Amino acid sequence: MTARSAEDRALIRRYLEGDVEAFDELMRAHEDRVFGICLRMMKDRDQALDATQDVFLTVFRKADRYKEQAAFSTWLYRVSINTCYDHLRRRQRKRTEAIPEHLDPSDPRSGDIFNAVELRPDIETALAGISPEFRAAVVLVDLEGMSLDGAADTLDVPVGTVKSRLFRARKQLAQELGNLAPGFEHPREEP
Amino acid sequence: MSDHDLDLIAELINGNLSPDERRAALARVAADPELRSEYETQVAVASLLSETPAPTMTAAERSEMHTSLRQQLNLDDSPAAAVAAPSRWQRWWAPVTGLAAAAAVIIGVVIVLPDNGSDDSLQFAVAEVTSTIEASRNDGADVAGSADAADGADEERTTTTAAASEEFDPTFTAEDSTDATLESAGEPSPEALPHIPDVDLNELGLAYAEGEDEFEDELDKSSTVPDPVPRSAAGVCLDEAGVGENEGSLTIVATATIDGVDVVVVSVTPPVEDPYLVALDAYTCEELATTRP
Repeated sequence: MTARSAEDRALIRRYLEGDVEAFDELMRAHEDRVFGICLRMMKDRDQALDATQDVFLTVFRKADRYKEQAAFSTWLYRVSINTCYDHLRRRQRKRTEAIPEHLDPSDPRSGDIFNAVELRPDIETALAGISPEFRAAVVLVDLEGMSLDGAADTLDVPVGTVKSRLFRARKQLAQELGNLAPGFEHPREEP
Repeated sequence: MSDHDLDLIAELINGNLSPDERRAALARVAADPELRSEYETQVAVASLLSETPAPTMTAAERSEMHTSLRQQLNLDDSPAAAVAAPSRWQRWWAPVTGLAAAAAVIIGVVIVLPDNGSDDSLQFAVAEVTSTIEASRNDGADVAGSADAADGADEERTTTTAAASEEFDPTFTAEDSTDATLESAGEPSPEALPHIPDVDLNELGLAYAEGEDEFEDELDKSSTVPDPVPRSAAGVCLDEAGVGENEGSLTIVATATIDGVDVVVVSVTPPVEDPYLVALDAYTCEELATTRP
């Protein structure tokens, strides 16, 4: 068990005993990562904020049901991904998607937002073009740096499924981005 | 591309290969032009993504979220209240909770008391019910506000109902009840929403089609398992599910499980056709089963 994992469990116990500071500490420890997952899954910032809030509502309301066999973060990220799936399904049901106001180029806030999160719009657009299941694998492993095993636990699928989704997702992203020259050397691949 | 090759690439990029295993894998990739091309594409995308900075919330967004969560989780109160803080579903249902309590009062009178009503007793009972409805409306007005208000209203409702029960004039009759109170009789309060493990939707649907008494009897068989379905999901389902759109009124009648999946059972009363039930996945609101003719 990692130090973070042990600390999370202790914080959950404290929260259930009524220690409100434990809530703040858990939020501080995880909110940015949860928001990052949600933003990359949802693309839209406002919807990502809504999803992030729903994730923490679910987690804190069900804190008493958290089984300590798994790491808290695994449970939290699983709730995050499932919440994003739910939000995406609802968005899809509405069919007619209005362009979010804050992405309107005439909106003076739009530039601030991209500066604030330092996202590359071409990557975000490419990510939005692949299926949510493939996107989740890429978000967890390539963007959040999660291990294959960790992603498999979070997504509740076999490791082989994660590998397969990653492979297909990257292939689709490469086609979408279109400017990735063959022979690109990955820094992590240096011996 | 074989599964073995796919596995090899994934392990090279994200796995935990030993130095020897890594050397062998790279040699295998280098010897196969097609594999090498796939590997380089995969590495390029993985690299590009891994170098993307992590998004962060602004201070204002963070603060707003913390404030909202604290309110919704009722964190200024006791820990028990925090864990049991009313969800969106409960807040959504708050306006009808009082109506259901009022209806219970009326129904109780109808069942227990004999005929021969008097106008005075009617006025008393209706006044009690009206105050209950007002408490409910006040509660509803605070839907977007604090959970404390909702808790307070719940307490008020309980008190009012209890008072009405204790002070009922035995001459109050069904004929004296108002349409407004009777209309609310079918609405379950969120606290009392029945849960039916392994529901047989067809059986429940038959009971529903037969009439209110038969349906109530079926619901009476429900379990007392407390709230295994997220209320927020249940409430959202009414808004999100396409079921019943332009088909009449929708009412959440129970939570249940079907083959281990948490569902929300919704009654649909079309304007013309017979009413039917729909089971919606409590998490996705997708329709899992229906007794629709």
